[in-house]
Amino acid sequence: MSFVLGTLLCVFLVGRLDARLPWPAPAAKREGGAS
Amino acid sequence: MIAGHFGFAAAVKSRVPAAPTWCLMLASVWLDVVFVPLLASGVETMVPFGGGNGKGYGAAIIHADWTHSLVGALVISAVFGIVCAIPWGRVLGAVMGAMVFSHWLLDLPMHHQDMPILPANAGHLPLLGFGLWSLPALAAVLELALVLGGGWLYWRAAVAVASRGGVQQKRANLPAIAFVATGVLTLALNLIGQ
Repeated sequence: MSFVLGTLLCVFLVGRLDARLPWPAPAAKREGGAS
Repeated sequence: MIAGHFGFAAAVKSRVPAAPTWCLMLASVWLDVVFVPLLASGVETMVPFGGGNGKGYGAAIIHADWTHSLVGALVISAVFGIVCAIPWGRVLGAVMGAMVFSHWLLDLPMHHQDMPILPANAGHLPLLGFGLWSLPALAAVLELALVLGGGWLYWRAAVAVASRGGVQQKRANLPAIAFVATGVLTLALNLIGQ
């Protein structure tokens, strides 16, 4: 249970909250956006 | 170890900010994600260690002879990295592949001597694992240190990126708090054998 719960919370909850921050985009996406 | 892997992923995020956090978290436990169906199908197994029922923290010998063998872990890490390189490029692909393999490296000091070198323990080479789980209090403290240390490094990086982007600091605090709460909860459940 700890594994399933921890994985779901870290991937979905933390990942979702984290996505609201202006982190730099992954390199491949930046290259795509510039072209 | 579960929560400690997430702690290391949070620390890596602070150093590689372009790496998607959800994917770092998933990569950090990917060997265990692959392990679950193999365990359910009986290909990999767990047996009690030290006379208990095998349900407690580190209380099992884990015969994860495919997913947690040195070579098996390297292959799974490489495949994960290659898949990530398709959308995000070689650098992040390498980071994600290394993130997956970090699971094996962090498991090495914790596991009882049950980690083979070759898949399916071919050749019956010596099994690896330094057995810190035999000292559960020490193992748990180290794992908690990974969660708190990773959470702190993540929070610092998140505050910095929020500040540069003109975003309220609250937005940086929330994922950091959620991460530490999740890590502590996961470790606590793990400690009581859940």
